[in-house]
Amino acid sequence: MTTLAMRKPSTTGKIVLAILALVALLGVGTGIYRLVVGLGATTNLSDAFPWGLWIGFDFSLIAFAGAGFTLAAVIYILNLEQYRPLARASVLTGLLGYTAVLVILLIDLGRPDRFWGFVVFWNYHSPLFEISWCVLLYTTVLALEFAPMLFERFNKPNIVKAIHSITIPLVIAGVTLSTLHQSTLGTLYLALPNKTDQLWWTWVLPLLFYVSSIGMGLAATIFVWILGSKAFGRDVEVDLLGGLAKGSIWIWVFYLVVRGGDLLFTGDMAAVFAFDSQSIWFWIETIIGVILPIVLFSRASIRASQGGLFIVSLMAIVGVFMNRFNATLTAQAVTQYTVPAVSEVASYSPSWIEYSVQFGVLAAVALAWYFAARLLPIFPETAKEGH
Amino acid sequence: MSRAVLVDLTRCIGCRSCQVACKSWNDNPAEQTKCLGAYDNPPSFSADTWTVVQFNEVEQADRLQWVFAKRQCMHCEHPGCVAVCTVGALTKTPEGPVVYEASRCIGCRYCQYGCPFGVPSFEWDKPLGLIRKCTFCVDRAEEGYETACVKACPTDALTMGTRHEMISEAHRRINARPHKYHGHIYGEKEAGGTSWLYISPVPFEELGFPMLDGEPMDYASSVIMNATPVTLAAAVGVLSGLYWLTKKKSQAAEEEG
Repeated sequence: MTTLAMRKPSTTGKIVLAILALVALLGVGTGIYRLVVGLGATTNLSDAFPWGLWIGFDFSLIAFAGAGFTLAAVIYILNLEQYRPLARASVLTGLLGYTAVLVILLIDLGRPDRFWGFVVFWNYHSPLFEISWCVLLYTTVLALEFAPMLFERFNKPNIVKAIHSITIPLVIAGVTLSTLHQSTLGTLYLALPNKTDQLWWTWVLPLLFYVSSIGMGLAATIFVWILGSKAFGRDVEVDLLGGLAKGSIWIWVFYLVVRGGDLLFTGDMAAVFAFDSQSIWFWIETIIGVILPIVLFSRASIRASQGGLFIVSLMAIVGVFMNRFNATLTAQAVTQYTVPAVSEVASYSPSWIEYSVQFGVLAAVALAWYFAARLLPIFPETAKEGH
Repeated sequence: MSRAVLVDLTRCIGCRSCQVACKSWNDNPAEQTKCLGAYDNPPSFSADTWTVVQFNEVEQADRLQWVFAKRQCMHCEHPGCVAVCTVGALTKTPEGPVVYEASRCIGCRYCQYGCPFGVPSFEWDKPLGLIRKCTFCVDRAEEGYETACVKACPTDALTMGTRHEMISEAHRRINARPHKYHGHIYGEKEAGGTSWLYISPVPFEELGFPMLDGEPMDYASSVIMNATPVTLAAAVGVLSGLYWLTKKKSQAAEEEG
């Protein structure tokens, strides 16, 4: 069994790991503090802005973790065998992404002790109820998809074989669950017609959220693969990633056609060119996250360059993050009933504890990815089989 | 029979007896407030303040006039909060009240977004926070009493009865004195109808009431949520089909190669 364990990190690498560990520790500390003293004392959330930084990151990270279902679909459903080397890393990204989401959600809940409530108490009209169930089930699927890497490492070939025998049904279940909850994250805002700005409230929002989670999944796969390979000083498979980049062009073109067509059809074009804060944010997310990736990934030279792939996939990622944050914050009118004098000045910017918890969880996830890749057969050169 | 309250804003004198009665009946503590350049006090709902009298200064026909409006949970016929609640902690009862079952709540705060009137408030100060809002005095109703606020109102600005009776009463008052009222009955149609109904001397836009059409808040989301089984079946079908097709194609390619 070969692992990357023997590849000791460089001095720079050690510094990066130490910083990540410090940020993660601070996150654990502030996270526990938040659980002990409550949301009011530690966050800038209020009845005017009940959701903030954490929900924005949760909904963005669910799309980022779409790397898992997107690559599973490419490899096992579309049978594009050449991408099989990327399978394990994308499952790891998916699993850790969803784990981060679950941890942050737990800290964000008013009653973290009752996080299991949706399992017992059902309201199938609620988008958040469906999302909760899908995330629970899909995280289980990801854990099962991840299990072979653990059992292969610990030489349990029978268990690996058993899990591999159900790969196709498992992948179909995973992609179906993802299709449901990635789109339902959009439906979530459809239930707020009088609060959500017209640039984001549209009947096609569930479709837009779904399509952008696929684009984000491809971008996240490219981004994480380059970062992970750099961490271990291995050569990046540029041709393979270039193929994903080329595929993602069509995803973003489809997204742009639906987004633009919807705005034209529903007559919201005036709002697009209003150049108020909503319209400016709309333009930023669309240019960085959609238009630039289409234009830049269309150039073969960029798809053939590691730096180009890295920067442009990062743009798509940032764009989708902005889209989810805009839907959660920019697009939402103040939710609280209050006198106009107060609601006009109501605002939200995250507290340092909100940032600390958020970046702590992200740092912990990055560390977990690094050590998993170091100790387990994640990269193709360390995998026993082609899976 | 669904019960309702008719709020006649032409009768309200802004005495805030309803606010005091609400606090007193529900054992909700007073709040430390500060001057905000308005008479409204406190300025908004909170976990401990479930009803607030709004002090509106409205200019009409070159005349400045006060229009006071008691605000609280509207107890919608098709409540947005009930539709979105992850765990079904909120329910609309046939008797009228939208009731909240605290023991189910996980504190996700989606109801605060789902409500178009900005009603549900969260206990931000507690380590384990829950949602709180007007209960329509369900505990008093069980004993056959009117709500604490209706009981306390000295000018009969609040009238309680069945929803049907209150709509007829609103029409009767408007028709009897058309010059006194702006003709609209707020809550008859808004967001699919509410159990609290308002008639006013001025248009409701002037009072900052949300302008809503007759569709329930969850109209669009329900259409899509109800299609979930279809989406699920379609996804499984399309994925299985694609798998079968591409597998056949790659096997054929292998045989040729």
